[in-house]
Amino acid sequence: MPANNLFGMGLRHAHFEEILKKFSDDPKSLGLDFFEIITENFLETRGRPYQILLKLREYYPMSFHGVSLNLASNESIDFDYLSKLKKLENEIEPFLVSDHLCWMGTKDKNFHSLLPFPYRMQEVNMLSEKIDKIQEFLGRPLILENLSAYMQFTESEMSEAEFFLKLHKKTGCHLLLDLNNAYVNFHNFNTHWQDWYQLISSDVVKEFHLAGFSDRGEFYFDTHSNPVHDEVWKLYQDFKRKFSNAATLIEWDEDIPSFERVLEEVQKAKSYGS
Amino acid sequence: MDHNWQKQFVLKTIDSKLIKGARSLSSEEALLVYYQDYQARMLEALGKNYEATWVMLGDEEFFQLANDFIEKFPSKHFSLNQFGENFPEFLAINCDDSDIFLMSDYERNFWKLFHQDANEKKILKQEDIEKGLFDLSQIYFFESNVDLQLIFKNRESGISEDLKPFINESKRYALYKMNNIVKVLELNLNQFHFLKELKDLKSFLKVKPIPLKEEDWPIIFEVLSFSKTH
Repeated sequence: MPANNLFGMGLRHAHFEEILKKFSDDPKSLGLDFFEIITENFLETRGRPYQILLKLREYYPMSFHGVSLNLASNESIDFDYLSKLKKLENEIEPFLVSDHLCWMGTKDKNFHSLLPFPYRMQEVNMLSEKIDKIQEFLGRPLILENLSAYMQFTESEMSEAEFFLKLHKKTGCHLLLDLNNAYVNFHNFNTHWQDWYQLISSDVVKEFHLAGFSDRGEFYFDTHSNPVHDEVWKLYQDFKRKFSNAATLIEWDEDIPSFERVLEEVQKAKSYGS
Repeated sequence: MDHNWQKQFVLKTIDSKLIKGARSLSSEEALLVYYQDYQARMLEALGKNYEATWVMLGDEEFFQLANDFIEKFPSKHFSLNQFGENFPEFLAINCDDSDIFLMSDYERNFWKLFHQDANEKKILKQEDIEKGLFDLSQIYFFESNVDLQLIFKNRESGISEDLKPFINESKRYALYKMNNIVKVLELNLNQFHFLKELKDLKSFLKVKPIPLKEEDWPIIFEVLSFSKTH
């Protein structure tokens, strides 16, 4: 199923009751085009969250967004994790499967955080090899999300956008462009979002993520705890003109408001991006 | 740049000259953002999985024990939901109160049940009873001075600040899943011993005679109807 210009939100436990109530009134009228799940939350459960996922899937396309591929780690690929992902993929048939351009930790300690790494040719080669194997295993192109960061490596040889472009050319992987992350990095490091706009061709971006950051005084922190910032909305309008076929997702993961409030953000994206 | 820089990052020994912090952050401060974020995430995960234990211990003691646990047992699983599986055992060793262990053990089992397949209630047939074989491995039995039903009600509605779950007498409970919902059921002494022994021995015929009264049976059949089919 193509991702063409769909508008959705992250499926969160906090909204289950509201969604189910609306769903029982009219399952087709939740007011959005798709839901995105955090893949790891559904890999090892067959309980209530999974049953709700199945119910929603009858009426709505789903996309998978993972946080555990650990691509940039020096550790080898975790095929146990991938097998579970593939099983869920077969059950739900998502239209997108994405993860992050980052590392999460070593086998001795998983930080559960999206950690930056140096953007060098040796990392391009290491990640390309892994991406090829993962894409072959899953039987579909991977979609990778750009990071927000609070530190960079002094030995980086290129920008994150240039790094991604090399990966794309070697492996055919696609991009999930998180404009909030691009904006946070612009503030934190002055790395310009125009890199993404100018370097990446329109068919490579499959999805946008939009969320709200927190101002920590000395830097911006990507908390997903606020409405989308005005400056990010402006960016979105510009980018959506070029990458018009990409799906758009609103993420809200902390201090989560009502389903209806998040839906307002989805509708706003629709009005800017249709 | 050392090939082991990731291990050094994890061990907090990475050379700060390799790092440039965001805006005015020094490299050490930037690293601290990630280290503190890890600690906060793990604390949040433990707090979520052991919410009632947290209420019973209070903030100060819970945070102290949780931070010690996080330091000693780094997360290795891809899912945060799995973090803290051995927290009840850690509490048993590091906390004097045995009710705290029971509480945390109950929460761990609640979590396990919550994520299981929807368990359909079955109608017990004469032949089931005649065979006498029941698999109660998915049903958990507890004996505690904690009012689990009070905790349970608060779990559904949100834990209240003034929760006073300790009671003077010991109560006995069965914890099981009905369709998609986890249930807690209070048992009397005889029901509890009978069912607990049946869980261990898996057969009516092997359970030693317990003086059960007629009014004990409806509850026992209720529990047995959630046993796994042989």
